Amino acid sequence: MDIYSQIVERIIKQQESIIGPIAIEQAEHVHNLKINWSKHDVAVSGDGSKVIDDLVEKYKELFGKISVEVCKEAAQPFIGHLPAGKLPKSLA
Amino acid sequence: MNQKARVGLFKILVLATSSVFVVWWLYINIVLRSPDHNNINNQIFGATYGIISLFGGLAGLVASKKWGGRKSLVGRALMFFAIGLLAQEFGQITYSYYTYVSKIAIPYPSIGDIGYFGSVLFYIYAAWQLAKAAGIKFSFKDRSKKIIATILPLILLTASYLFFLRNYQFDFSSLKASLAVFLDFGYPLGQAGYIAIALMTYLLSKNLLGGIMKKKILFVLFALLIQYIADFTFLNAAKTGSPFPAGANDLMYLIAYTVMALALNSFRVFSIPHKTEESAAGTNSATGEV
Repeated sequence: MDIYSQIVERIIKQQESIIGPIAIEQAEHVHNLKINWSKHDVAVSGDGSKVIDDLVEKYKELFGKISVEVCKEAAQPFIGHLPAGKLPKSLA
Repeated sequence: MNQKARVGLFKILVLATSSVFVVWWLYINIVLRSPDHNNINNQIFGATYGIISLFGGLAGLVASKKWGGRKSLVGRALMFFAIGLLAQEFGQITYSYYTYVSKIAIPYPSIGDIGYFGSVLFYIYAAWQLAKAAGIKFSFKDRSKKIIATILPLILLTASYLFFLRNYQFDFSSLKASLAVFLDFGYPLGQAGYIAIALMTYLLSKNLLGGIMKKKILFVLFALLIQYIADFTFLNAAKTGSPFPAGANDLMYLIAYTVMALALNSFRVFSIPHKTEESAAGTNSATGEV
Protein backbone atom coordinates (compact mmCIF):
# COMPACT_ATOMS: atom_id res chain seq x y z
CA MET A 1 0.00 0.00 0.00
CA ASP A 2 1.23 3.50 -0.77
CA ILE A 3 1.59 6.05 2.03
CA TYR A 4 -1.82 7.69 1.37
CA SER A 5 -3.59 4.32 1.47
CA GLN A 6 -1.82 3.51 4.72
CA ILE A 7 -2.96 6.82 6.23
CA VAL A 8 -6.53 6.23 5.04
CA GLU A 9 -6.53 2.69 6.43
CA ARG A 10 -5.27 3.97 9.78
CA ILE A 11 -7.85 6.77 9.90
CA ILE A 12 -10.76 4.44 9.08
CA LYS A 13 -9.55 1.93 11.68
CA GLN A 14 -9.36 4.64 14.35
CA GLN A 15 -12.81 5.99 13.44
CA GLU A 16 -14.20 2.44 13.44
CA SER A 17 -13.13 2.06 17.07
CA ILE A 18 -15.31 5.10 17.87
CA ILE A 19 -18.33 4.83 15.57
CA GLY A 20 -18.22 1.23 14.34
CA PRO A 21 -19.34 0.25 10.84
CA ILE A 22 -20.52 3.79 10.12
CA ALA A 23 -16.84 4.72 9.71
CA ILE A 24 -16.61 2.38 6.72
CA GLU A 25 -19.96 3.47 5.29
CA GLN A 26 -18.80 7.09 5.36
CA ALA A 27 -15.48 6.23 3.72
CA GLU A 28 -17.27 4.39 0.92
CA HIS A 29 -18.76 7.73 -0.15
CA VAL A 30 -15.34 9.31 -0.73
CA HIS A 31 -14.44 9.80 -4.39
CA ASN A 32 -11.28 8.01 -5.62
CA LEU A 33 -11.26 5.69 -2.61
CA LYS A 34 -11.92 1.95 -2.97
CA ILE A 35 -12.30 -0.14 0.15
CA ASN A 36 -12.54 -3.85 0.86
CA TRP A 37 -12.66 -3.57 4.62
CA SER A 38 -13.04 -7.29 5.32
CA LYS A 39 -9.45 -7.59 4.01
CA HIS A 40 -8.47 -4.09 5.18
CA ASP A 41 -7.69 -3.37 1.54
CA VAL A 42 -7.64 0.34 0.75
CA ALA A 43 -6.81 1.81 -2.66
CA VAL A 44 -6.42 5.53 -3.22
CA SER A 45 -6.39 6.85 -6.78
CA GLY A 46 -5.83 10.36 -8.08
CA ASP A 47 -4.72 13.08 -5.67
CA GLY A 48 -4.02 11.28 -2.36
CA SER A 49 -4.04 14.50 -0.34
CA LYS A 50 -7.47 15.40 -1.69
CA VAL A 51 -8.83 11.91 -0.87
CA ILE A 52 -7.61 12.25 2.72
CA ASP A 53 -9.10 15.76 2.99
CA ASP A 54 -12.44 14.43 1.70
CA LEU A 55 -12.34 11.50 4.14
CA VAL A 56 -11.57 13.77 7.11
CA GLU A 57 -14.41 16.07 5.99
CA LYS A 58 -16.82 13.10 6.01
CA TYR A 59 -15.96 12.35 9.63
CA LYS A 60 -16.05 16.04 10.51
CA GLU A 61 -19.69 16.10 9.38
CA LEU A 62 -20.36 13.52 12.10
CA PHE A 63 -18.46 14.80 15.16
CA GLY A 64 -17.00 18.15 14.18
CA LYS A 65 -13.47 19.19 15.19
CA ILE A 66 -13.08 16.12 17.39
CA SER A 67 -13.14 13.90 14.31
CA VAL A 68 -10.36 15.99 12.80
CA GLU A 69 -8.28 15.56 15.96
CA VAL A 70 -8.86 11.78 15.86
CA CYS A 71 -7.77 11.67 12.19
CA LYS A 72 -4.66 13.76 12.92
CA GLU A 73 -3.71 11.46 15.78
CA ALA A 74 -4.25 8.37 13.61
CA ALA A 75 -2.13 9.78 10.76
CA GLN A 76 0.66 11.07 12.99
CA PRO A 77 3.07 8.08 12.57
CA PHE A 78 2.92 8.46 8.77
CA ILE A 79 3.21 12.23 8.41
CA GLY A 80 7.02 12.17 8.27
CA HIS A 81 6.93 9.73 5.33
CA LEU A 82 4.87 12.01 3.10
CA PRO A 83 6.66 13.77 0.20
CA ALA A 84 7.59 17.40 1.00
CA GLY A 85 4.68 19.78 0.51
CA LYS A 86 2.16 16.92 0.14
CA LEU A 87 0.66 17.05 3.62
CA PRO A 88 -3.16 17.07 3.36
CA LYS A 89 -4.56 20.41 4.57
CA SER A 90 -6.90 18.66 7.00
CA LEU A 91 -3.97 17.05 8.82
CA ALA A 92 -1.86 20.19 9.07
CA MET B 1 -41.38 0.93 6.08
CA ASN B 2 -37.95 2.52 6.04
CA GLN B 3 -35.71 2.99 9.07
CA LYS B 4 -36.53 6.67 9.49
CA ALA B 5 -40.27 5.90 9.61
CA ARG B 6 -39.74 3.08 12.15
CA VAL B 7 -37.71 5.40 14.38
CA GLY B 8 -40.41 8.08 14.09
CA LEU B 9 -43.13 5.56 14.94
CA PHE B 10 -41.20 4.38 17.99
CA LYS B 11 -40.83 8.00 19.14
CA ILE B 12 -44.61 8.44 18.88
CA LEU B 13 -45.15 5.19 20.82
CA VAL B 14 -42.86 6.35 23.65
CA LEU B 15 -44.38 9.83 23.81
CA ALA B 16 -47.98 8.54 23.65
CA THR B 17 -47.36 5.93 26.36
CA SER B 18 -45.62 8.49 28.57
CA SER B 19 -48.48 10.95 28.07
CA VAL B 20 -50.99 8.33 29.23
CA PHE B 21 -48.93 7.78 32.38
CA VAL B 22 -48.59 11.54 33.01
CA VAL B 23 -52.39 11.99 32.72
CA TRP B 24 -52.87 9.00 35.03
CA TRP B 25 -50.37 10.50 37.52
CA LEU B 26 -52.24 13.83 37.46
CA TYR B 27 -55.55 11.99 38.00
CA ILE B 28 -54.12 10.16 41.03
CA ASN B 29 -52.48 13.24 42.57
CA ILE B 30 -54.94 16.01 41.67
CA VAL B 31 -58.36 14.37 41.28
CA LEU B 32 -58.25 11.35 43.61
CA ARG B 33 -55.81 12.71 46.21
CA SER B 34 -56.26 9.61 48.33
CA PRO B 35 -54.71 9.85 51.81
CA ASP B 36 -53.76 6.19 51.42
CA HIS B 37 -50.65 6.41 49.26
CA ASN B 38 -50.55 2.65 48.89
CA ASN B 39 -54.00 2.27 47.35
CA ILE B 40 -54.45 0.09 44.28
CA ASN B 41 -54.27 3.00 41.79
CA ASN B 42 -50.91 4.16 43.14
CA GLN B 43 -49.61 0.60 43.27
CA ILE B 44 -50.56 -0.25 39.69
CA PHE B 45 -49.06 3.03 38.45
CA GLY B 46 -45.83 2.32 40.31
CA ALA B 47 -45.67 -1.21 38.91
CA THR B 48 -46.30 -0.36 35.25
CA TYR B 49 -44.74 2.96 34.22
CA GLY B 50 -41.34 1.26 34.01
CA ILE B 51 -42.45 -0.11 30.65
CA ILE B 52 -40.99 3.10 29.21
CA SER B 53 -37.53 2.01 30.36
CA LEU B 54 -38.16 -1.36 28.69
CA PHE B 55 -38.97 0.46 25.42
CA GLY B 56 -35.87 2.63 25.80
CA GLY B 57 -33.67 -0.35 26.62
CA LEU B 58 -34.76 -2.22 23.51
CA ALA B 59 -34.31 0.87 21.29
CA GLY B 60 -30.84 1.38 22.79
CA LEU B 61 -29.80 -2.20 22.03
CA VAL B 62 -30.96 -1.85 18.41
CA ALA B 63 -29.12 1.49 18.10
CA SER B 64 -25.99 0.01 19.68
CA LYS B 65 -25.86 -2.74 17.04
CA LYS B 66 -25.90 -0.12 14.27
CA TRP B 67 -22.91 1.62 15.86
CA GLY B 68 -20.83 -1.54 16.16
CA GLY B 69 -22.08 -2.82 19.55
CA ARG B 70 -19.31 -3.62 22.00
CA LYS B 71 -16.64 -3.08 19.30
CA SER B 72 -16.96 0.73 19.23
CA LEU B 73 -17.11 3.49 21.84
CA VAL B 74 -20.52 4.80 20.72
CA GLY B 75 -21.85 1.23 20.41
CA ARG B 76 -20.70 0.37 23.93
CA ALA B 77 -22.11 3.61 25.35
CA LEU B 78 -25.53 2.95 23.82
CA MET B 79 -25.44 -0.71 24.89
CA PHE B 80 -24.73 0.11 28.53
CA PHE B 81 -27.26 2.95 28.71
CA ALA B 82 -29.78 0.42 27.34
CA ILE B 83 -28.74 -2.23 29.88
CA GLY B 84 -29.02 0.46 32.59
CA LEU B 85 -32.61 1.16 31.56
CA LEU B 86 -33.42 -2.58 31.50
CA ALA B 87 -31.83 -2.93 34.94
CA GLN B 88 -34.15 -0.19 36.26
CA GLU B 89 -37.12 -2.13 34.88
CA PHE B 90 -35.78 -5.28 36.55
CA GLY B 91 -35.72 -3.38 39.85
CA GLN B 92 -39.29 -2.20 39.36
CA ILE B 93 -40.58 -5.67 38.48
CA THR B 94 -38.84 -7.14 41.51
CA TYR B 95 -40.34 -4.51 43.83
CA SER B 96 -43.79 -5.22 42.35
CA TYR B 97 -43.22 -8.93 42.93
CA TYR B 98 -42.59 -8.27 46.63
CA THR B 99 -45.73 -6.14 46.86
CA TYR B 100 -48.22 -8.21 44.84
CA VAL B 101 -46.96 -11.78 44.87
CA SER B 102 -45.05 -12.12 48.12
CA LYS B 103 -47.25 -9.43 49.76
CA ILE B 104 -44.41 -8.24 51.99
CA ALA B 105 -42.82 -4.86 52.63
CA ILE B 106 -39.95 -4.34 50.20
CA PRO B 107 -36.78 -5.45 52.00
CA TYR B 108 -33.56 -3.43 51.86
CA PRO B 109 -31.27 -4.53 50.44
CA SER B 110 -33.11 -6.87 48.09
CA ILE B 111 -32.82 -8.51 44.66
CA GLY B 112 -34.33 -5.27 43.28
CA ASP B 113 -31.17 -3.42 44.30
CA ILE B 114 -29.20 -5.55 41.84
CA GLY B 115 -31.23 -3.77 39.15
CA TYR B 116 -31.24 -0.30 40.69
CA PHE B 117 -27.62 -0.23 41.82
CA GLY B 118 -26.56 -2.13 38.70
CA SER B 119 -28.11 0.60 36.57
CA VAL B 120 -25.96 3.21 38.34
CA LEU B 121 -22.82 1.22 37.48
CA PHE B 122 -23.96 0.67 33.89
CA TYR B 123 -24.67 4.40 33.50
CA ILE B 124 -21.20 5.27 34.84
CA TYR B 125 -19.53 2.95 32.32
CA ALA B 126 -21.76 4.15 29.46
CA ALA B 127 -21.16 7.82 30.30
CA TRP B 128 -17.39 7.17 30.33
CA GLN B 129 -17.54 5.51 26.90
CA LEU B 130 -19.55 8.47 25.57
CA ALA B 131 -17.05 10.90 27.10
CA LYS B 132 -14.23 9.11 25.26
CA ALA B 133 -16.21 9.16 22.00
CA ALA B 134 -16.82 12.88 22.50
CA GLY B 135 -13.05 13.32 22.62
CA ILE B 136 -12.49 14.55 26.17
CA LYS B 137 -8.89 13.35 26.00
CA PHE B 138 -8.15 16.08 23.44
CA SER B 139 -9.34 18.66 25.96
CA PHE B 140 -6.81 17.43 28.52
CA LYS B 141 -4.08 19.21 26.54
CA ASP B 142 -5.54 22.41 28.02
CA ARG B 143 -4.35 22.81 31.64
CA SER B 144 -7.49 24.64 32.83
CA LYS B 145 -9.66 21.82 31.48
CA LYS B 146 -7.47 19.27 33.23
CA ILE B 147 -8.20 21.14 36.47
CA ILE B 148 -11.96 21.07 35.75
CA ALA B 149 -11.75 17.31 35.14
CA THR B 150 -10.08 16.83 38.52
CA ILE B 151 -12.13 19.23 40.61
CA LEU B 152 -15.65 18.67 39.26
CA PRO B 153 -15.99 14.99 40.31
CA LEU B 154 -14.46 15.82 43.71
CA ILE B 155 -17.00 18.62 44.26
CA LEU B 156 -19.96 16.43 43.28
CA LEU B 157 -18.80 13.46 45.36
CA THR B 158 -18.19 15.69 48.39
CA ALA B 159 -21.55 17.44 47.98
CA SER B 160 -23.35 14.09 47.72
CA TYR B 161 -21.53 12.81 50.78
CA LEU B 162 -22.38 15.92 52.82
CA PHE B 163 -26.02 15.98 51.72
CA PHE B 164 -26.86 12.30 52.08
CA LEU B 165 -24.26 10.71 54.33
CA ARG B 166 -23.14 13.24 56.94
CA ASN B 167 -23.56 11.80 60.47
CA TYR B 168 -24.18 8.38 58.95
CA GLN B 169 -24.56 5.62 61.55
CA PHE B 170 -22.52 2.62 60.45
CA ASP B 171 -23.88 -0.83 61.17
CA PHE B 172 -21.79 -3.86 60.25
CA SER B 173 -23.59 -6.20 62.66
CA SER B 174 -24.65 -8.62 59.91
CA LEU B 175 -24.05 -9.29 56.22
CA LYS B 176 -27.40 -7.71 55.38
CA ALA B 177 -26.60 -4.59 57.43
CA SER B 178 -23.15 -4.37 55.80
CA LEU B 179 -24.73 -4.62 52.36
CA ALA B 180 -27.11 -1.83 53.32
CA VAL B 181 -24.11 0.33 54.33
CA PHE B 182 -22.46 -0.41 50.99
CA LEU B 183 -25.62 0.59 49.09
CA ASP B 184 -26.25 3.65 51.27
CA PHE B 185 -22.86 4.93 50.10
CA GLY B 186 -22.98 3.37 46.64
CA TYR B 187 -26.21 4.98 45.46
CA PRO B 188 -25.44 8.69 46.10
CA LEU B 189 -21.74 8.45 45.27
CA GLY B 190 -22.38 6.34 42.15
CA GLN B 191 -25.02 8.76 40.95
CA ALA B 192 -22.64 11.65 41.58
CA GLY B 193 -20.15 9.67 39.48
CA TYR B 194 -22.25 9.44 36.31
CA ILE B 195 -23.45 13.04 36.51
CA ALA B 196 -19.85 14.20 37.05
CA ILE B 197 -18.78 12.37 33.88
CA ALA B 198 -21.76 13.83 31.97
CA LEU B 199 -21.01 17.41 33.09
CA MET B 200 -17.30 16.94 32.45
CA THR B 201 -18.05 15.67 28.93
CA TYR B 202 -20.21 18.70 28.26
CA LEU B 203 -17.74 21.25 29.67
CA LEU B 204 -14.64 19.73 28.12
CA SER B 205 -15.92 18.91 24.67
CA LYS B 206 -18.50 21.62 23.95
CA ASN B 207 -16.06 23.62 21.81
CA LEU B 208 -14.68 20.63 19.90
CA LEU B 209 -17.86 18.61 19.48
CA GLY B 210 -19.83 19.38 16.35
CA GLY B 211 -21.45 17.79 13.32
CA ILE B 212 -24.70 15.89 13.31
CA MET B 213 -23.72 13.89 16.41
CA LYS B 214 -23.50 16.94 18.66
CA LYS B 215 -27.27 17.15 19.22
CA LYS B 216 -27.56 13.42 19.87
CA ILE B 217 -24.74 13.40 22.42
CA LEU B 218 -26.10 16.50 24.18
CA PHE B 219 -29.51 14.78 24.25
CA VAL B 220 -28.02 11.80 26.11
CA LEU B 221 -26.17 14.12 28.53
CA PHE B 222 -29.47 15.93 29.17
CA ALA B 223 -31.16 12.55 29.79
CA LEU B 224 -28.46 11.77 32.36
CA LEU B 225 -29.13 15.08 34.08
CA ILE B 226 -32.86 14.28 34.32
CA GLN B 227 -32.01 10.78 35.59
CA TYR B 228 -29.80 12.34 38.26
CA ILE B 229 -32.61 14.69 39.33
CA ALA B 230 -34.94 11.65 39.56
CA ASP B 231 -32.39 9.69 41.60
CA PHE B 232 -31.77 12.71 43.82
CA THR B 233 -35.53 13.18 44.37
CA PHE B 234 -35.87 9.52 45.33
CA LEU B 235 -32.90 9.49 47.72
CA ASN B 236 -34.07 12.72 49.31
CA ALA B 237 -37.58 11.26 49.78
CA ALA B 238 -36.00 8.12 51.28
CA LYS B 239 -33.93 10.30 53.63
CA THR B 240 -36.69 12.62 54.79
CA GLY B 241 -39.62 10.23 54.79
CA SER B 242 -40.77 7.40 52.66
CA PRO B 243 -41.17 7.57 48.90
CA PHE B 244 -44.54 6.19 47.83
CA PRO B 245 -45.88 4.78 44.55
CA ALA B 246 -47.14 7.41 42.07
CA GLY B 247 -45.45 10.15 44.09
CA ALA B 248 -43.23 12.95 42.78
CA ASN B 249 -40.31 10.53 42.56
CA ASP B 250 -42.19 8.19 40.22
CA LEU B 251 -43.14 11.13 37.97
CA MET B 252 -39.48 12.14 37.82
CA TYR B 253 -38.44 8.60 36.91
CA LEU B 254 -41.15 8.46 34.25
CA ILE B 255 -39.74 11.65 32.69
CA ALA B 256 -36.17 10.38 33.01
CA TYR B 257 -36.97 7.06 31.30
CA THR B 258 -38.85 8.89 28.54
CA VAL B 259 -36.01 11.32 27.81
CA MET B 260 -33.38 8.56 27.84
CA ALA B 261 -35.56 6.32 25.61
CA LEU B 262 -35.93 9.17 23.09
CA ALA B 263 -32.22 10.01 23.28
CA LEU B 264 -31.18 6.40 22.57
CA ASN B 265 -33.80 6.09 19.83
CA SER B 266 -32.32 9.15 18.09
CA PHE B 267 -29.13 7.14 17.44
CA ARG B 268 -31.03 4.67 15.29
CA VAL B 269 -31.05 7.06 12.37
CA PHE B 270 -29.06 9.93 10.97
CA SER B 271 -28.71 11.54 7.58
CA ILE B 272 -25.72 13.04 5.89
CA PRO B 273 -26.08 14.54 2.44
CA HIS B 274 -23.55 12.62 0.34
CA LYS B 275 -22.44 14.39 -2.82
CA THR B 276 -22.93 12.28 -5.92
CA GLU B 277 -20.96 12.79 -9.12
CA GLU B 278 -23.80 15.04 -10.30
CA SER B 279 -24.07 16.97 -7.06
CA ALA B 280 -20.36 17.61 -7.15
CA ALA B 281 -21.20 19.48 -10.32
CA GLY B 282 -23.95 21.26 -8.38
CA THR B 283 -27.03 19.46 -9.75
CA ASN B 284 -28.12 16.84 -7.23
CA SER B 285 -27.60 15.33 -3.79
CA ALA B 286 -28.39 12.05 -2.11
CA THR B 287 -29.19 11.42 1.51
CA GLY B 288 -27.49 8.57 3.29
CA GLU B 289 -29.27 6.85 6.15
CA VAL B 290 -28.02 4.35 8.62
